[in-house]
Parts: sequence; structure tokens; C-alpha cells
Amino acid sequence: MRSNFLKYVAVVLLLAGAQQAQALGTTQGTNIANTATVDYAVGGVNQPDISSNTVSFLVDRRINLTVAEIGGTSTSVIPGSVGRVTTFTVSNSTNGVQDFRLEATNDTAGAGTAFGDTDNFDGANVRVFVDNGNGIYEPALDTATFIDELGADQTRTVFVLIDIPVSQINDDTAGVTLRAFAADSGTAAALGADATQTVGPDTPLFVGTVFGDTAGAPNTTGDAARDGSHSDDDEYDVVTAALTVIKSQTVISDPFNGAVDPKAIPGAVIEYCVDINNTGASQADAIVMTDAIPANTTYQAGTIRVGVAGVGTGCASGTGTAEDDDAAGGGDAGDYDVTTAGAVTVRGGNIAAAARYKAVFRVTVN
Amino acid sequence: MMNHTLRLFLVAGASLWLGAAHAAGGLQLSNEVFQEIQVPGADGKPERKSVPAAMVVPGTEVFYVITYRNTGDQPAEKIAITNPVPAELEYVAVLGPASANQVSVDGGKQYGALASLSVPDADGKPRAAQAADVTHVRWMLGTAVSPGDGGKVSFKARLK
Repeated sequence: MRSNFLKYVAVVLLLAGAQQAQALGTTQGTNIANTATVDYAVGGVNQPDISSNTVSFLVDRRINLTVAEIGGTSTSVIPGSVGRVTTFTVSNSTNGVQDFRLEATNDTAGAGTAFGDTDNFDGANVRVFVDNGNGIYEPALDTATFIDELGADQTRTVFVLIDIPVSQINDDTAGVTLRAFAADSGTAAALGADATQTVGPDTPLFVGTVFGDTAGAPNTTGDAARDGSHSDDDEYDVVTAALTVIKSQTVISDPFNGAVDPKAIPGAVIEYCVDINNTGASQADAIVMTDAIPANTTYQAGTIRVGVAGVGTGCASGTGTAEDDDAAGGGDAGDYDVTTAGAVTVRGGNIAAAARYKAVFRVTVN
Repeated sequence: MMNHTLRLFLVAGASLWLGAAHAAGGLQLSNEVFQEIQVPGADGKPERKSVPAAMVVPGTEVFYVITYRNTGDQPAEKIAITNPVPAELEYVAVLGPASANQVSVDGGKQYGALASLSVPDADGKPRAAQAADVTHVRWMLGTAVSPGDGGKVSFKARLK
């Protein structure tokens, strides 16, 4: 009878297999005790109940954590900006309280990034700070660099900060990865040692540790499943203005032909057209264009026009706003020989992304 | 594999009988808890093995094996073995011949086949009981156990 029973037990267990529960479950260290009792009769007379021994085991620690990028979009940055923030959450799915060590790194150049671009620069001064609970990065308040005593099923927001080198240009991309390592809890305001898995057989009355975490985001490296850590990546995109300046010239008249097929002979009037094109993704602010009058020509007074229309890089003569040559008066957008000696200066204000700004002025050939 | 399981049961059982000397003459009852782990077999393939429950995390299934033995000199009749399911565990199933098995979903007041029991739902209306509702497991042995004889009953539960 016994062997039949055991065979049955074994078959059932094989079929059942090990089940993975997603719930956080019973807290590590909980003692699970069980006692059976038997009631029976002898010779028709009921006998006192008999209790079995109490069999016990302690619930072990299953470490599980999730790092997740927050916001679902990259962070737009401009060159030279400092302390630019990407936001993550670290969730403790361990069946107990854990500390978490945090590590933020630049992704490898050429690696794919979180939002489909390719990493081509590294942020400087990479830092990690833990949120104080309101989800907003506040330099004076969010100063912790590790997560302290995070309860089961609790989540903490974490900020990664980098500085953007001033040399970066529009469309540059930096990927960053936040990796959190489960660390032992127990001492408030102190980061415990990284958690380790129990090696070899466990014993019933020892709280062993198993890692149950998954591998990190596809773009992260070095973070395997069941290694006691988890990671996710985020992305910084450089969004800035990109200006091109193209200058063209048109002969307006000469002393002999007048305005009909004029030639660039001494005494001819030349109109220069300066086209400033913002091909970037961000507005360019406070544009100032300076153009020295070429040698052997003489600036023709009162010919600066700003905000000129025109197709492509060209300027439509006579459009835009005429400017006097001084720099006086509110809103004066152009001058000659005032801001810079011997040069025309045009203050173009702000040029929106994918917009142009044009100005013209005239000289005579000496 | 079968041999592993069998041997383990026998060894563990023997040691527990030694430790259960406090039980009076008549029936002796011992309780053990096991879990299944996967180990590399002799051929390199993973093999399942039953070991005393030690590495148990939420979701792990354990099985309790309750061994009874008649150490008296008279046959024991009307044997009813009762085992409460620990609160942190969720009952899964009885292992072995289950015909004499009953469960309770109300803390041991009433017993019956799981399919015949109901529990109040959130609105207080009865709904069919499920394995997770089980609070106690009971085995009613139909036949007397002669002196020196014994047997085992077992159930499986999962750590919440």
C-alpha cells in the first residue's frame, strides 16, 4: 500500500510542477507551523485525540525588483545645460523590506536607445538621486543616493542627472541606464550589502535568499535574469537650433546701363542678400548678424532692409522693413558702422525652428 | 527518481517516529513537510527530488505528509485525521487516494467534498467553494488499522 501511495504522490507532483506566483506573498521570516490531530476509537470506545509533532519552516526571501523608465519619452536638452533629469521608478517586489543600491551609467556609443535612436555621446557628471516622495526633482531635498528600507510592494522614484557637453549638436542622442541592486535592509539610513543568493541547501529554519528578478531592458547590458538587480534605460535628445547663413549678390545698376543688364563695374550698385536658415529643432534666440563691407566697395547709406521676403535663399528686392543706419531707437534692427566699425549689423531677434530670416543692404563698387 | 522519493520518505519517517515517543500507546501521528526541487540527474537532465521544505518563497508548493501508526495492541477504528491548513498557505489538493478525504471551508465546523461546499461571497451570497477557501483537511479512514500497521496521508499547499 505504501509504495502505491508514494508512486501516486510522485506522479501528481510531477504533473503539478513548480508554480510561479506573482503576488509578493508571505513576508520573509514568517514561521509556518502545522500540527495534525487524529481521533479514533478502540473497541468501539472513543480515545483521546492525539496530536502530531509541529512541523515548521521559515519563509525565505525571494528578491524581485523592477526598474522602469517613467514618462515614455526622451528628455530634450540643449548643449551646455547642466543637471538634466530623466526619471525612473524602482519597485520592490521582494517579500520583505530591502535597500537598493543605484547605479547610473552612460550607454555605449552606437547602442540602441530607449526610444529608437542610437547613442552617440556621453553625458558628463552622471548622478543618481532618490525622490523625497513628490515625483519632482528638487536639488535641495532629493539628495539620497540609495533607496533605504523600501517595503514590499513599495515604489520609489529615482532621478538620473547628467550635464550636456556644450559641443553637442542638434539630434545628438545620449542613452543612460539606471540599474538597481537589491541590498540587505535592517539599518535605517545606511545602505546594506548587496544581497546574495543562498548557496547550497537551505535549512527549514534559516531564511534563505533566492533571486527572482528578470533581465533588464533590451538596451541595457550586463543585467541578467535572477542576478538580484534590474535596469531600464532612458534617453536624452539634443534639440537645438542649427543655423546656416548664405549670402548672395545682385547687381542692381551701373552708371552706363542703368538697371538694364547692369554690370559690376566701378560705380555699379550691388545688393547683398543674407539668408539665415534655422534647420534645427529649436528656436534660435537673439540672432546678431555682422557683415563687413567688402574692400573696394562703399556702403550705400540707408539701404538696410530686414525681414525681407524671398524664395529659398534669395531676397525679393524692396520687401521687408527699411532701417536707418544708426542703432538708436527702440526696436532698431540694423545699423552700419555703429555696432561694428565698417560693417553692417542686423539684429534678427528669434528665429523659430525651420524658419528663415533675411536682410539686404547695398554697396557701390569703387 | 521514484527511489529517491521513496527513500527520503522512509528515512524521514523513521527519524520522526523516534522523536514522537511522547505519544501514548495507541495511535502515533507524525507530520512532515516537503518540497520538490530540481537537481541535475545522473544523466545531466534535470530531475525532480523531494526534500524537507527549506527554501520556500511565495508561490512555492509544499506537501505535508502525515504518518499514522498503531502502536497499541488493539485495532484502531474510526480514524479521523485532521490538519488545519496554515493561514499563510493556500490549499491545492490532496495527494494520494482521496476517497476518504473531506475538507472544511469554515474553520473546521463542517466537512465535505469540496464541490459540495460553498462560502459567502462579497455580498454574503453563497458561491461554490474553491481550493483556496479550504481551511482544514480531514481523512476518514474506513477500515480499522491493526496493531503495528500504519499509513500516510498527504496534501499539497502553496505559500501565499
